[in-house]
Amino acid sequence: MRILLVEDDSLIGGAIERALRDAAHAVDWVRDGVGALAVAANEDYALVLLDLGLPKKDGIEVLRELRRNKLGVPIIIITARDAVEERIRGLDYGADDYLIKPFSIGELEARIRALVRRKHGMVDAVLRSRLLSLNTATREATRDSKTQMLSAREYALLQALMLRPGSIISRDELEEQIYGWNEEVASNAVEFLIHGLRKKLGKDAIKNVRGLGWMVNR
Amino acid sequence: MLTSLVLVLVTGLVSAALAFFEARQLQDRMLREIGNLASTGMPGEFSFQRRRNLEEESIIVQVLNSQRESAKLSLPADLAEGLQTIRLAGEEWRVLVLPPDSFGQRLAIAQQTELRDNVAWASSLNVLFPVLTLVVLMLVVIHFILRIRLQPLKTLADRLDQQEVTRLTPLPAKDVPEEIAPFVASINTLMDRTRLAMQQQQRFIADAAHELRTPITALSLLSENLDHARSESERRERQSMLQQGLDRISDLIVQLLDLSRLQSDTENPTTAISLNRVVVEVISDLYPLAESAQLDLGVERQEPVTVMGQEGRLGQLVRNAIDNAIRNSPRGASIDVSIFAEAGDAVFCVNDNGTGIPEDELQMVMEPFYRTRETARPGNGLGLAICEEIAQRHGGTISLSNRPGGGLRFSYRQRLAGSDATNAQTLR
Repeated sequence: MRILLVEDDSLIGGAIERALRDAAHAVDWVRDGVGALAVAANEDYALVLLDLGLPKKDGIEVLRELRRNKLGVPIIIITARDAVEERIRGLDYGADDYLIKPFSIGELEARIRALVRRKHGMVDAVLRSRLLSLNTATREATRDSKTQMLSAREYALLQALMLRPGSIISRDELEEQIYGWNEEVASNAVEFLIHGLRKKLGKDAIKNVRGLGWMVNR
Repeated sequence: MLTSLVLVLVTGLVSAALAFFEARQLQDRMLREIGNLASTGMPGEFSFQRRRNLEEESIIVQVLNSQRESAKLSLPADLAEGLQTIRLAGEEWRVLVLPPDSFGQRLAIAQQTELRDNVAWASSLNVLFPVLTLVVLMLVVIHFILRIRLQPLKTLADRLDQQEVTRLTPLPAKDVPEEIAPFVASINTLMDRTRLAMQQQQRFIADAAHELRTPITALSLLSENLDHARSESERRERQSMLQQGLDRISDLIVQLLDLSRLQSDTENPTTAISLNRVVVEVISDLYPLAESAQLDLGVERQEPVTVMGQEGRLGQLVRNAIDNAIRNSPRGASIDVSIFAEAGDAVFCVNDNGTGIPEDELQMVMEPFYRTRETARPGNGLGLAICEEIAQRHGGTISLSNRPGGGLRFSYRQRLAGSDATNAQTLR
């Protein structure tokens, strides 16, 4: 999943970026409010993590502007401002969740999963297609009651497909969901990952539509 | 109240005593008058009786040595002339003996002392009684007047007693006797100042707690990340980030302690300090840091200046100023330090080529934890606040300004040691 991280503190930003990458997310990190708006307008993110105390433009302003521009991306505020009024303001201006520093990576990831579930109308942590199910909490894929452990990248790719079963997803889209800005993408990376997944889950688990991309059956 | 009571009582008693003695003197004079009368007009013996049956009121006039039966008193014949008090048959008498007349007779005019005393007592009581009545009456009246007049004061005191330290509200200046209005105004001013100081303290604590969250968040995230390291080199890299987080939190705590010590420090022994030496020491300390950031740190102008102060504190001020410049300078830039005397002041300046601070924020950056809006300047926002506190304690001033060519100018001024203002001035 591609996540935009807006955080001015280098240590915290670095730690969150690292943790999210460990959890197989593609992370783009900007350090001020103006940069956040510019990036969010041009790229398609599955989620925004937004700090409030930002240089150049306060996080709350960024939030309002994003919503004013009709950007529906889920937003989690991560901040040290813990006053009830602040939380109310943040949620009322369109944030989907509000996480107060210090928080644990585990909680942040659980909240990210919950937000993604809600966005896709899921009731639990499991994504389902005709043949497969993917547990987003444990990152395990199951086919015919046989459960397979996935690598971080494999999981990220399969999740991108499973979030929209029945739709064809292009290589570019898949790459975008798997890799952040600073990560180098090998030319055949997607094919390599698909190959690995098919080995674990069966050749027919992921279909290739020539010239267009890949899909899982609904 | 008690003193006035005692005072009035003493006055009363004194005037009663005076009345007593005056009554006696009056009676003595009366004896003389009668003596004069007797010696000129009426020979023989007689007695005055104001009231018929009251022997006590009587004054007896008789001839000394008289052997006559009619003699009322058996006075000794050898009484000296003049006034005297003698004892006769167990009673005291006041006797006036006149000089012998043409017949060689000596007249004695006598009055019983007890009677005289009674009269004197009566007259002194006449004086004392109205005084005492007046005193009691006055006390009662004063008491009530005071109660009524001081009622507003009592109300004020009650209001003060009910105040909570965390929520001080000024006393109402209305309905206060004009004698104590200035007092109420002073209390209100004090309360205002106290409230302001407490608000500052509370804000500082809130800010400090807030400020601690950031490094703690970083630490907690970094330590979680450590668990997910997949290789030894990744683990080492994450460990060094964790160490950075620990360094940052310990820096913050050291500075918080510094600031709180500065604010509560009341004992300020001051000595004459060579500011040059302080600056040289700090620069030699910080030079490696500047060097590793490829900064050209040096002194542009140096004149010997001496100031009164605490060496450690001034060193801290100088260190924070230069450290700030180092943190905010781009690689390859230069930092120029100057130290000189100007118009009786010692001036210490640091010029850097960094980004500077937006004009409207130049004042605010001196507040604890203030962060500039435009650019994320590194640090925890306490360095300049500590400088400001030190400056205030030394009677100095700090001014920040943006340099025309870009960059920030930090300048600290304090009276030179030995100048008039310094000698009169003591550290807060």
